[in-house]
Amino acid sequence: MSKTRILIIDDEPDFIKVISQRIESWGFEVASCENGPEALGIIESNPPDIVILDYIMPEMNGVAVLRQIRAKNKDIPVIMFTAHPDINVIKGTDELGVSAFIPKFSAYTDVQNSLKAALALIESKLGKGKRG
Amino acid sequence: MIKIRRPGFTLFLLLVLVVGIAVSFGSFILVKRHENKAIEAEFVSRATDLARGIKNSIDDNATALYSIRDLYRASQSVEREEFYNFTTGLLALHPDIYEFRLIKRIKGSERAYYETSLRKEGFPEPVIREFDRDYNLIRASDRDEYFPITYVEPLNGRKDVIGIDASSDPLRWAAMKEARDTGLQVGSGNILLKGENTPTYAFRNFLPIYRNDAPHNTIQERRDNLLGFAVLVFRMEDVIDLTLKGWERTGIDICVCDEAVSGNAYGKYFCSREGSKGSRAIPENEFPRKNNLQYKLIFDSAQRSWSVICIANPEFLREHRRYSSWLALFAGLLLTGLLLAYLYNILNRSLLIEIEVKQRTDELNKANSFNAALLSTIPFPMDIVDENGNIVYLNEKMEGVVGKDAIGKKCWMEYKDNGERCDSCPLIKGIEMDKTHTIEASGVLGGKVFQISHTGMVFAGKKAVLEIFEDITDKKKSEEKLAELSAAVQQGPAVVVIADTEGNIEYINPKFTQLTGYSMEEALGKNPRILRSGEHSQDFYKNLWDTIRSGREWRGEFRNKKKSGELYWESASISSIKNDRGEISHFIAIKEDITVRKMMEAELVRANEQLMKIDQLKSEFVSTVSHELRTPLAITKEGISLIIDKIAGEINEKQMTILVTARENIDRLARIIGDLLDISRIEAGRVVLKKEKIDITALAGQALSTFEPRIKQKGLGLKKELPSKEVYVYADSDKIIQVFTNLLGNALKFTDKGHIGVSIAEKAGVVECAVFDTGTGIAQENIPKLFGKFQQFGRVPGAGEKGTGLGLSIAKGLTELHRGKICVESALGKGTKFILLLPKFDPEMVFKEHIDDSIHDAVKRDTRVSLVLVSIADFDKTKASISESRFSDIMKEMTSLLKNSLHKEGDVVAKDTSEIIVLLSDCNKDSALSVMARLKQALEDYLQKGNLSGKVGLCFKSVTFPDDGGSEAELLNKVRV
Repeated sequence: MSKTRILIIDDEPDFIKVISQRIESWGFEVASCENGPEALGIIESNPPDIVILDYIMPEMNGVAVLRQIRAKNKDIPVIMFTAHPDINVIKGTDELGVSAFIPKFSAYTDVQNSLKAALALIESKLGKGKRG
Repeated sequence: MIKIRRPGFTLFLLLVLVVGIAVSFGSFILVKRHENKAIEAEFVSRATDLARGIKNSIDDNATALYSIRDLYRASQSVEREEFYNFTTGLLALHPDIYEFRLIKRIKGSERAYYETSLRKEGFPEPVIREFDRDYNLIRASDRDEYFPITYVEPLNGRKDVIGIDASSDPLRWAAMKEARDTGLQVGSGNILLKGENTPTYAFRNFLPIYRNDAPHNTIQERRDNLLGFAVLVFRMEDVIDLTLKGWERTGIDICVCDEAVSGNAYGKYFCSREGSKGSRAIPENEFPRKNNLQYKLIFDSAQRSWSVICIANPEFLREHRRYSSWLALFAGLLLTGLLLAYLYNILNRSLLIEIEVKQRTDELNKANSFNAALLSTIPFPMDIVDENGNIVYLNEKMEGVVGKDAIGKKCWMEYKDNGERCDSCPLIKGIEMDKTHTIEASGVLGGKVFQISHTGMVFAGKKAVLEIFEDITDKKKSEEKLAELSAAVQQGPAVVVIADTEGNIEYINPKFTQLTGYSMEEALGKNPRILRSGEHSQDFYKNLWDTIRSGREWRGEFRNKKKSGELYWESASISSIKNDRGEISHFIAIKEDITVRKMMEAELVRANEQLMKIDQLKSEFVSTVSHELRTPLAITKEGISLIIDKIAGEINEKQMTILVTARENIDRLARIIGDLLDISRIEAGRVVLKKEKIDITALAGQALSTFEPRIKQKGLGLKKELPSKEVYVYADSDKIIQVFTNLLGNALKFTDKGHIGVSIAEKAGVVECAVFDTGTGIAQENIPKLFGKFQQFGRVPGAGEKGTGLGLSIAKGLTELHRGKICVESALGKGTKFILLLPKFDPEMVFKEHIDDSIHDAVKRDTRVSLVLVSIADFDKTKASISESRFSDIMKEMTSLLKNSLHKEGDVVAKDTSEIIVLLSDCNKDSALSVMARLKQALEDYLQKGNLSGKVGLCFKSVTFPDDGGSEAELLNKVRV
């Protein structure tokens, strides 16, 4: 069984660099890109199992990208990262089916733990759970 | 029609008729009599003249005979020549004398001589002859004396008469004897003349001639001394004809009667009948018919009685007939007739007039009563005053005001409050008949203003003035008010324009000129489009005109152009002015120059935009800070974490310690950034709560459990004083957890021994949550400063996370956002208890909060909010008929059904009991009604499907903000009624 493939979309290459290593350390296969259009191309050509999407991006923000994704693929699980201090202000995502919102940085919660938990949950749902 | 019967009327007329006829006939008779008398007088006068004429002629003739005797007295012997000469002159004077004769007394002895001398004179029959018995002439027998006719003049054809002894005829001899004896002239009767070719009768008068030289005083002397007789022969016909010759027409028949002749002997009557030729002797039976008009004159001549009888003939009567009497009769009858007609007419007219008068009187009475009724209803007080101002009449209205006693008093004493005469009183100048002077008088009848009209008239035969009072106090006040209003329009700050229905300007106030630069002359009659700047569309003006023509008010703003070309803004209210019939007669525009306001508004908009921009910048700043600061932090932290987690390879202990410290400080920095952002957002009111019904007990437990490892790690006890059942609040769980986290974090920081605990308690309307510890506590004086920013005082935190100094400020801010309160109880060295009071969950409150939020939102966005209330009819009964759990399910199902039906149109707030409220944002009344209809259909379908139609009855009602109410309470009150 192949590794669960995750596509990370973030305009910050450094963040991708560190978070990819972390996710890969958990045994996932990670692909990444820095903007929406590129991501849509990847999803089209080589659909990932899970998408991790940054909320704030220049040009095309996370919600817009997600809307485009949903136009083609209704089922792909999406985890949204946000550096916004208030998750509540993220609007317009209700019907777009976001599996989890993960604060990009929180002094009180652990990004790794949250992300790990969300990924594990999604994996189990996808029936790809091998990390057990 | 009123009929009046007058029996006396006919009787009177009849009487007048009788009297009239009587008078007519009376006057007829009188005039007739007078007429007759006049005729008679005329007749008598004429007849007298005629009769006297005849008498005079006879007398004159007799007188002529005396002149012959006088001739004899003068000479004693008269020769034939002398006789002839003398008588010829007399005959010329008396043409009615037939002839004169001279009879001589010849004694028997003288016969021969006499006869001889006659023969000498040449007479053929010179013999004295006498009449025999048969009246034939024969030679006279011898006797003592003879009385032969000796001279005859005129002699022509009468020569044979000479020598005839007149005494031989007894008729003549009788007259001659009487004449001889008396010495008087004596006439004989009518005797046939001898010697005439046609038998002719004539009268003879014998006058004796005595001897001059012998006395003849006695009969004997006379017989002795008689010489002879002078004889006058005349025909009565001649006398009459000659007399009548002087008369043209007499109209009178004349008869001369020889009275001496008795019986009806021929020769007694000599008559002249007018129209017949000459007079003649007639028998009595041929005498003209006698009538009333006859005259008789009796006289004597030559010892003979005569009478002249004058009889008016028809000619006379015809000539003297007068018609005066008939005229009088006719005139009388005519006058009677006319009088009757006149009287009839008069009486008839008087009757008619009487009827008319009666009718008029009736009408007048009716009119009077009507007038009286009318007068009593006339709302104006009236009176009549004489020229001196004395009241002589009051109408009911005025009587009611001043009382009856006012009559006879001066009007100003009665009416004027000050009792003084009005300055403008028309009576001062005198009364002008039928002219009306109207004055205005104030201070009348108790401070009122009256308009009093004075009309000159005649009352009770005297000059007077009718005064009509009209109370114009209110009118005056209105006028003053109007003047004020007018002044307000004239001088007020607003521009006022009044135009007719076509838009032609009829009035502008000075402010218009001041604003636009158009003078009154320039603006009047023009259309307000002179002000158009061209900046508004045709539709704009069409809408304006459509609005005001429909009678509604138009409000709006114009960008108009002044006369100078300068543009300006004005706000206008244009509405219609309607006349009595409700038709629009004018439009009035009240406008205000809002150019400055507009500029300020534009400025404001710009400033607002600027502010929005700044706000946006601030938001962006927050985002940027969050993102831009946190991203490197996250990367740094993640990088360090990767090393610490040895994903990048092994590290030594020393390195590990450094990296962990670094990572802790990265966290601290992140916390500070987070807290700073939080507090700034809270203070800016930018925190949006995502409220829901949450179980505070579970939440508190959850928060505590995250601290549990650290608390235990620090060797502290953990106390949970939580109720066994759920306690609900309406709150944003993340924010409440943040508050708990802050408080627990604090507790952990300042507690080294003892325990840390959380308690939840339900109080009236609130839920009291507490986080308590047995830590260092807070000095009392520091408590007020506790919730300030960056306040860290006195308390020495133990090992572990470093605070940011913002935690309690954030906790307080978040609590207050939830309409809650936070307070603290603390004792130094003993511990601290933070108490959080949150409103207990109450569906009603949630309702209200929802509605309130929607209203705020609507106000902010200038939209409407509608509210649909679905309630269960007969709630208690329905609940009793269905099991509670089933009912609760039904409510839940209906709620979710509503949510699905609405999609994104609204928010559904379910109340667990009997109501479901649907909030429709940005939804006006009409839309609300159509949404309600749709919801109703959906719910009824649902009930029918579940066979619940009969068991659950639903009521639907909707209200809209701001149409139905301005607040949540008003809307709920209205929708629930």
